[in-house]
Amino acid sequence: MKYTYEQMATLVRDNNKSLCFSDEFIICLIWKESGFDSDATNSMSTATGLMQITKSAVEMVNSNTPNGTHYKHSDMTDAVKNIQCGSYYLDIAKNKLNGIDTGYGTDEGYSKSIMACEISLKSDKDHYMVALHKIHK
Amino acid sequence: MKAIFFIFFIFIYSFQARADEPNAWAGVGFESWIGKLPTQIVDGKALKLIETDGVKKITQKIVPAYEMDAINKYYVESLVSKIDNFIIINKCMPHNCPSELAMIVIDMNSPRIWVGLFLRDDTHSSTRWYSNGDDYSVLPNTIKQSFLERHGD
Repeated sequence: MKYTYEQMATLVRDNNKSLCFSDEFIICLIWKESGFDSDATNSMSTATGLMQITKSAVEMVNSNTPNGTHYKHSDMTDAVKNIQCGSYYLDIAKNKLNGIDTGYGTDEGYSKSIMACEISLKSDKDHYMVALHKIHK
Repeated sequence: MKAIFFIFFIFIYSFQARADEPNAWAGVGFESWIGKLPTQIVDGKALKLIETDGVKKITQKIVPAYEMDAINKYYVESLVSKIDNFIIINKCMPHNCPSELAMIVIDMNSPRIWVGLFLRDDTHSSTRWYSNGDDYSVLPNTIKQSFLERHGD
């Protein structure tokens, strides 16, 4: 399912489990990873859903979150579970995997455009598309 | 000997031409892909909708090789959908989805394909459409709007 910005903002507000990253950061990351499409799937890896969560990321979340928190990789096309699991994983990547550039993305510049988008979104939510257009290499 | 070559040539020609015929086109089975990912793993092998016989033949003709190379790296895929009589395939670059993407539009009724590509970087953006039929402007507005929404409209 392809979500609108407004739908995504609500989903992230209600499901962001991160203690380190803002709702705006996660909205921008989701735009970068999947373009707000919860069915997005990488044909060459296990990356799945809005935040392109891999099997190993799900396993890491399950072993590093409070008792009772458990996700299945097969549920990662579910928007709510994907955002919850992905936002937990962001904190793990930041604190235990040397940061999200290499722990979540592919290189040191990974988060640069996400942060530019985040700043723009925080300063002017009405023109969210201006912020989303900052997502590129 | 010449007669054998002639018969062989006719056989090969008719086989190749078959993919361009509407009846053969209908036999590709596009309906069965709707709601599935455009890359399916069957018996350990990747089966790709854009590499089925008729589709591959046309896209190779209309899309420059360097653009096809890019499309082949767009590993992030959406579910195959249908709008009117068109099959829609969306693909994008991992970690850069809205800024490097492709939409492939297949007419289910006749062998016509449109391939739309979008790219955005620090200094420029570009949109390209390739087709063996009419200009992309003839496509339904819902398809054109969907393409725009993919890169942020």
